[in-house]
Amino acid sequence: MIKSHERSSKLFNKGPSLLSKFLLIFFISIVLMGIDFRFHYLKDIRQATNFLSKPFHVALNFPNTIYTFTTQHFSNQSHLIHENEQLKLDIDRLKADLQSLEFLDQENNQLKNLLEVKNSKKFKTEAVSIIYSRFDPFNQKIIIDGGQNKNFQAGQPVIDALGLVGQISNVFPETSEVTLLIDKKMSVPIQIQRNGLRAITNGNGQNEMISLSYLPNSVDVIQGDILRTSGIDTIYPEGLAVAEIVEINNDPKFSFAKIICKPIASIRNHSHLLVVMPTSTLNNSIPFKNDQKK
Amino acid sequence: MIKKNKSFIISLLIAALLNLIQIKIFNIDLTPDFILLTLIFYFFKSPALVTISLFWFIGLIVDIFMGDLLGQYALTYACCYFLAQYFVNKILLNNKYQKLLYIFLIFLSAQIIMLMINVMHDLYYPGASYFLQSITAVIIWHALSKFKIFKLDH
Repeated sequence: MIKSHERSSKLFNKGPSLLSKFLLIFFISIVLMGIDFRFHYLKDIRQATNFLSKPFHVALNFPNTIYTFTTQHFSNQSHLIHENEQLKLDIDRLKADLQSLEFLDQENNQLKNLLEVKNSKKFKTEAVSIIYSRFDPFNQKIIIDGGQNKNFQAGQPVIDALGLVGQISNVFPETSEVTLLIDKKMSVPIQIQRNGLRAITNGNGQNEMISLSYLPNSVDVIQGDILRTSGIDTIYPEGLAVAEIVEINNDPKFSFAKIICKPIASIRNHSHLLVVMPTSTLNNSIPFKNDQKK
Repeated sequence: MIKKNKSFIISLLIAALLNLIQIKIFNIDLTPDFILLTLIFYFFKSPALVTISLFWFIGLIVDIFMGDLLGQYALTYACCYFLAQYFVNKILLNNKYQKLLYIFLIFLSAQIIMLMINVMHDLYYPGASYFLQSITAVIIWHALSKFKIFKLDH
C-alpha cells in the first residue's frame, strides 16, 4: 500500500518544510487570482496558448470521425437512394413553404412601410460544429470550431433550428467559446409573443432552466407563453424563439414574480449549430462582458 | 528525466482528454476531475516523483486551459497535496475502505476549496448535487484499482 518508509526516510530534511512551501504557494495563488480578477489577463494567455489544445480537439473528434467514415463507407446504395428521395421531397415541401413565407414577408414589409416602421433585416448564418463542452460546474460553456478564421466576433448570437442557444463570448484563432443561455451570467432581452410584454431573462446555471426577472406579481403571463428576442439591443435579431414559460409563482411575500422558463432550443443535444453573422442592422454588436453583474 | 516519467505525462494527457467528456445522469453533472485523480494516484504510487510545486504547476496549466481565474486550480491542487501529505503518516490506512474514505475526503476538500473561490468572486452556488462528483471520483478509483496496472502495492 503506501510506502511510508519512503516518506519518512528523510531524516535530515533539507530545504523548506511542507507548511512553509504550502504557505508560499497559497500566497502566490491568491495574488495571481487577485490580479486576474482585476485585469482579466487569463484571456490573453489563453489566446496565445490556444494552439496547444488543438491535438485534444482532434483526439476528441476522432471517434466521431471514425463513425462517420465507416457509416458512409458501408451505407448501401438503396439506403442512399431512399434518403436522396426523401431529401428531394423535403426540399420541395420547404420551397413551397418558402413561397408562402416570401409572400407574407413582402406583405409584412409593405404594411410596415405604410405604418412607417423600420424594417427588420434578415440575417445570415454560418454552420459550426461543437467540439466539446467545458468541464466546469460553475460555467455553462461550449467550444465550437471556427473562430477568427471564419470572422466570428465576441457577441454574435448562436442558434439552432428551433431557437436561441447562446452567445459567442471568446474568439480564438480556430475555435470559439459559446456561453449558453442557461449560464448564470447570460441575459437576453425578450418579448412575450402573446402580448408583446418586454422583459429580460437570466440563466439559472444549474438546472437547464432560465428565469424572467423583475416582473411584478400581477404581470400578464400564462404557462406556455413563448418568449422571443425583442431585437432592441441590436445584438440578437428580432423574433428568435428563446424559451417557453413552464412555471409561475406569484407569491405575494415577494415583490417580484418568480417565472421559470424552459429554453426552446435543445441546448445539450446537438452536434451542429448556426452562428448569426452580423448584417447592416446588427453590426454594432457589443462584445460579451464577462463581468456583467459586477 | 522525461523518459523516466513517461507514464506520468501520458496518464496526465489521457486525464486531460477525459476531463473534456461529460458524465451526466438525470441532468446532473457527475464528471470528476480526472487530472486530480491521476495526481493523487501518483502521490501514492511514486511519492518521490510528485511534490507540492508539481501539483501547483499542473494546476496552473489546467487553469490556462479551462479555469475561470488564473490560479484557482493551482491553489486547489496545492491544498489537496498539502492535506494528503499532512495526514498520510498521521492516520492508519490499514484497509481498502479506510483509504477510499481518505480519497473521498481529499476530493471533497478540493471541491469545497473550488466552491469557496467561485462563491467569493461570483456569488454563485451550483447546488448540492455538485458534491456528487467526489463520490463518482471514489467509485472510479475503486473500479480502476481492480485492474493490475493500477495496483498500488507491488
